[in-house]
Amino acid sequence: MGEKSNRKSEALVKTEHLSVRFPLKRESPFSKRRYINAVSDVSIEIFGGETFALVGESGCGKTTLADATLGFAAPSAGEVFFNGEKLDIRNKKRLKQQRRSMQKIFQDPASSMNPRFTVARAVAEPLMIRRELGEKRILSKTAEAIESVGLSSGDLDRFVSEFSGGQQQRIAIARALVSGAEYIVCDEPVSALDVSVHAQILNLLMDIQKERGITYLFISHNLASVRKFADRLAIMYLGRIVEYGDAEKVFANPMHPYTRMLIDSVLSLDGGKTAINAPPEANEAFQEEQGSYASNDDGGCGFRRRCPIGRSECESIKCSLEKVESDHYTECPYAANR
Amino acid sequence: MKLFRKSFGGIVGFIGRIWRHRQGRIGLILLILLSLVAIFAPLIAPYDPYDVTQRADKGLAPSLEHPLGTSITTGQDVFSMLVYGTRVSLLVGLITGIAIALLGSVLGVAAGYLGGAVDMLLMRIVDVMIVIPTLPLTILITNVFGKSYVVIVLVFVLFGWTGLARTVRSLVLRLKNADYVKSAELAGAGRWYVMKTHILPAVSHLVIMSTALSCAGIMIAEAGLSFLGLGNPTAISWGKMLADAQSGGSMLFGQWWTIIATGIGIFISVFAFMRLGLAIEGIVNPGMKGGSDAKRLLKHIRGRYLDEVLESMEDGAK
Amino acid sequence: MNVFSVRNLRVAFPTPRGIIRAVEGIDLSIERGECLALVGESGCGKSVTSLASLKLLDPSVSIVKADEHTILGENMLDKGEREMESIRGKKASMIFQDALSALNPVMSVGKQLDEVFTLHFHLKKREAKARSIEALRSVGIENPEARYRAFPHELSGGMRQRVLIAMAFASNPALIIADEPTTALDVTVQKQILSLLSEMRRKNGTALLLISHDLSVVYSMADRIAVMYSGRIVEEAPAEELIRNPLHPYTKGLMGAVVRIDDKKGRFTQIPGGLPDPANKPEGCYFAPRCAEAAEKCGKCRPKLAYTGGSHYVRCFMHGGERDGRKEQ
Repeated sequence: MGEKSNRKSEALVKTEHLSVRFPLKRESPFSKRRYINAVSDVSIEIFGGETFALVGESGCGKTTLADATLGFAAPSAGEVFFNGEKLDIRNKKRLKQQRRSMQKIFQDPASSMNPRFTVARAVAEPLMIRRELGEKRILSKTAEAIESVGLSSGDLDRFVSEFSGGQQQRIAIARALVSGAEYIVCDEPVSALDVSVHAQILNLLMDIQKERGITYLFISHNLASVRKFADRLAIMYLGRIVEYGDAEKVFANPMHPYTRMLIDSVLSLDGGKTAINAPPEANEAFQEEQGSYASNDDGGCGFRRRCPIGRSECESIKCSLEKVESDHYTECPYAANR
Repeated sequence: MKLFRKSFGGIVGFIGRIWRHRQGRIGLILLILLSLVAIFAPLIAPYDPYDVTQRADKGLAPSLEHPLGTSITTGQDVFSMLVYGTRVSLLVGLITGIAIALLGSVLGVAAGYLGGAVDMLLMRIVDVMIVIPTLPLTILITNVFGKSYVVIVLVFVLFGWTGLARTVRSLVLRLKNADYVKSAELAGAGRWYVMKTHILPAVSHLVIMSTALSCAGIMIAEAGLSFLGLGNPTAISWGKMLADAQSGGSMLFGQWWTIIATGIGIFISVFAFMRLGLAIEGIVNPGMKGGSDAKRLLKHIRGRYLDEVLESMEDGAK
Repeated sequence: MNVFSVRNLRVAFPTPRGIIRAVEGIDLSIERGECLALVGESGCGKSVTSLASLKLLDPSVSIVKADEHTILGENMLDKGEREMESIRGKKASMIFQDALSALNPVMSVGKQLDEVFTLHFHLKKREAKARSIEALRSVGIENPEARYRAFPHELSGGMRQRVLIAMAFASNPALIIADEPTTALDVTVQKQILSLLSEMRRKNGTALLLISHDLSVVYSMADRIAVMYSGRIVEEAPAEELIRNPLHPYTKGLMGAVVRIDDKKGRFTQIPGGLPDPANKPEGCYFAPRCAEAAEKCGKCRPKLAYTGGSHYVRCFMHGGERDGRKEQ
């Protein structure tokens, strides 16, 4: 198993048939309230010490799913478990305790820390909220955290806004570390940054994981970095998981046509300079309409209208994840004999 | 732990920032001067305008004895009236401004943070208040409840809080959903902590700024009401001085000094509050300032070092 | 003929911290129908270069100077703001990264498109509308009659970018400057937008100045690539040549930063450090502090842009940085 040796057999984070829905704006006060299913019937397991990637286009529900595992979004059906224990949003007191081992790193580091804060305050905030340690301990822990992300403790009394995007993301990581989180949601942590900085941040996250055995839920829309970064993954489309399992297995043998479309979308420097092949009439016009009224209740496969191998059966098919091999599942029944 | 206290705010630090801001400093100095005049009015004014025995002939021209002449209707010393008038104008402006700030921010924060029914109710009230014609209603109220400054202040506050409450509410709504609030909640922060650390400091800057600007507006409004004869008839205020000058026909008899002097008084105080408000705005929203700094620097460089700078940027330059 | 050319462009911003030297003597020229890509990290001066190219920098806060600056052979150096307004949008136009803020939020996208035709071509309202709908159709927007009435926030990110592209091409300009046109988009949409851009360009014969921080984005589009670092061009070559035979260590670093889909799990290749402080640049080669191959000389002298054959220029002492390439040709 090599790299995955620190993985425990019991899932750290688990969802069972989880659905999250949001009410849509009513067209008139008398019309029936309609809902949008941001997440529908999702069951995933994230194991301790691993990096689990959630991949999909914007609006596919990946952030909502991640937020549900942090107790920020109330399930409309199904359940979320953290460390084997149910995450109950209404039990505020218990949720507060459970959240002590969770943190989130946001896409835009500038908005994830109060612009009025100095680096010291931004990083130390979790400790100051808990009020368990003395000032001296807090200060030394803060300095230690800021140094572990490659900044110097001399930066502590500068304002967060004085740093570049990459450095701000490092500060955000230090903040997550200082809180002692064992589960960190990384919501597109590099997509707001230059490619040249991606590697620095992702390597840092990997080093930290190796050192402290932290579990990551890594949200991304770029499959190339997912393959290098993640152990397991879920591909999400319109609120549903369409492919799921061991990352290397999925990449070696991508089953769902959507997964393949995402893989084809990765730009590279290999091969000759050819004309760009856009994904098959991916047609965002449709996606946009569908996105705002995403409903998978109308029956059929949600991907069918963008699907290159779609057929008439897809109109009415009831999709569910089927096993391809051990720890590799896909929703598309026609993927194998394409 | 010094490191953690050095944040953006702190009342002393905030005043220091205003002081370093050029416009803010002008406002601050003027305001301090006006306050001193108001506090020490009996020492500064050569006469007591409230004392009937100290009245002179009506409508005297400026002289050594009466530096701004005497009023045309009662023969009071205009300069003394002006000095005493500062008390009323400043007090009405400040008290109303602060009352509006308190009411508007408390209701705005309540609406934004609590949401739901509270929000709904407050915002409907705001909607109603905004369409009410203020002036006729003010005239009506002062006629019913008597012409006193207490009534005037109450009326101003009653109609004044809505705008601030709206802006505060939308700011709170934005802050409540900010990523950093989410992140603090993950670290175990409760409602009170979020309120105290992340929401109130940002709101307080907005409130201080709008208070300074609303004080200016209220002083003008007060002068207007007194001019219309809706102020306390026994008190000496700038608005009333203007009204008396008007009714006595100062302009008709070419006695412009009363009017000019009063106008300058109103102008200076409004100007002071405006400068202060704009300075705070520049400090709170840094995006809006800086322009003037950069421009000044550029002028400086254009004047002396332009060629040097350009030359140093030539490709291949050492 | 040159569609666009600028020689020895320099841009500086005075700040209280010191003078920010954003662009230090850049030469660019774009032939008719050619696509030149300008690649570098944020803060390297690529966006400032693009803004200066259309004289969009506020003269009250910046110092801009060039020895030569032409668009379609016309001298831009002594053009005033009034004259520039008629050039922008008509002869040269721009596509921004953030379509949402580039579009007017309270005006329907159709009306905004109409303005291009009414302002620059003095068309009547009805004619303008017909042309706008045609333009929306040409960028692959389905049901353009309905989209014409849509407001920017009602459209998806990719759709908004299509509208911006339609606006940029509406007046059939000779030059389009696209500043990070796909950075804010999903990978799938990114590829669609890139293919749309290259198709529109081919159809209209438009020259394109494409700006990005990601080599993989520009590689498929560009005829030539110029790599920019801290206000200077460090390498410039035909796209194919640059990718097959990168000479500058920074170019190699940027190439390494492009993750390939067949890479297995493991560490990412990274360029250590960041750009130098633009108000306080290093004495020698600007890249030396981050360069793994830096020699003693690199910390002391600044290399020049040297010609290495095959229209390939590089600014590095490993590859003849003592010579001035522009004088050799």
